[in-house]
Amino acid sequence: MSLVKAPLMHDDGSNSPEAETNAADRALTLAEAYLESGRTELAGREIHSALGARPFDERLHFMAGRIALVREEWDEACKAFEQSLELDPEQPGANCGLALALMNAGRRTEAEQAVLRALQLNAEFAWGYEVYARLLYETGHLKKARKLLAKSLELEPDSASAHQLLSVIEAERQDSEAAKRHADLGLAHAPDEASSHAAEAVRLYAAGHPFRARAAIREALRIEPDSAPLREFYADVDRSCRWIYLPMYYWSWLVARTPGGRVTIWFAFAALYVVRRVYKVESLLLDFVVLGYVILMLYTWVADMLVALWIRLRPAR
Amino acid sequence: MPKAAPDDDLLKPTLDERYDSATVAAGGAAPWDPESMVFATFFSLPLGAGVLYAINYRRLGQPRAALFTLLGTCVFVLGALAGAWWLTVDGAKATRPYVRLALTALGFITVTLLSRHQKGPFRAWSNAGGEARSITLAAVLAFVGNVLAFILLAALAVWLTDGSK
Repeated sequence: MSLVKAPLMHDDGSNSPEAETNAADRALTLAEAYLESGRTELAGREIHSALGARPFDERLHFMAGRIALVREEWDEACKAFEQSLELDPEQPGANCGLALALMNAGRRTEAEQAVLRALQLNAEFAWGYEVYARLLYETGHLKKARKLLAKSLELEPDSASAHQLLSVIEAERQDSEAAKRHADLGLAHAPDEASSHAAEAVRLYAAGHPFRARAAIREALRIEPDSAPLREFYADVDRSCRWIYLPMYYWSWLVARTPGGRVTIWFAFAALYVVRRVYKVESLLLDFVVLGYVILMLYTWVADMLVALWIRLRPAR
Repeated sequence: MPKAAPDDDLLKPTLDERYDSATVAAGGAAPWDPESMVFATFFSLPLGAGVLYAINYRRLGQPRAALFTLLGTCVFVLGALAGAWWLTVDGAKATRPYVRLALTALGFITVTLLSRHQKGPFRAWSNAGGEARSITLAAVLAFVGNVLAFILLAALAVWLTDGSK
């Protein structure tokens, strides 16, 4: 959450004569420390008691928004950032925080407006470009998301999270070289972050290396054992590593790389069959190829069921 | 702080209300994955496929698009029937396979475009934790419905042809 830290830096409160301001500053410092150590409940309590004394301090509302974001309380986060913006609308960080909260709440058009406001206020706000890229990646606008991340990295070349997201996007675009480059940079800048290993896992999984992807996601889980999305991803990758599902994984991998996907492959085999019938080609090899395709199709229909049964017998470690 | 240039392409809005999750699956039924629909609906073109895409639009919270898809499907089916009628009356046997091929290609292109149109909102919804519904049963039902509808229409066409003689 480095994004939402930035605006706090403009005012350290040291030259304020008022005791209340000092109390608010102390609360902010304490909340920041609690937040960094993962004690979000204590951070929340600290800020809410400070807000009781100073309800018109936009920094306190802003911090309340950050805490709510970490606690994944999206509606609370929206409210806090909106209150902070009511008091001072010229905050790129609060607009960006609001965009993140709205995006997670599924209100994506409003999130886009908020992040655009942030970037209108500060055209060199690297994290703003990254948040916007994340929003567009989620909605499938990969081309623009890449451009935004390039801009973000131009402003802040050491951003591990921007490299991680760019790696995931390149993996989805099947540019494995670029995906590897950014995953490596992500890992180099933040080797102790679970998200670096997760990005590496996504890259490896998309490149056709499910076993190496499983090892990378295990590393991510070692750092963040309670992360639900990581556990979910591990379950998916582990499923593909089961021998009963491995042909399905490689079939899906091949289909994803074929222009037109399954339909093209289906047409190719149908054409093969028609040519064989029309021209009366007697070829055992051709028969085997067509028969193999039919068997593969039958397998793909039951592969999910088979692997679910297999996992019930031998659960993931 | 440096202000952004208003004509900066990167800072032009891209999303519209189709991408908001609030309306997707509001009726309780999860949508189908549009990518798997292309293949699944190929055998139920045009009627069954059109109905499935219209249903998916509804589930994605786009009733207007659903209505247009249904209307488009009706126009397509009527056009196909008119073509079939003309070929039967005209007796142009040699032309039939080409017309059939052209109609299949047109149907395929249409469902590919519809899938592409539904892909973004579906992706946004599934990224927020939504789980797609399986298309298998619906595809089988659409195929059977499609066959039955065309048998009925063919029977009607034969009855009308006989009646006009």
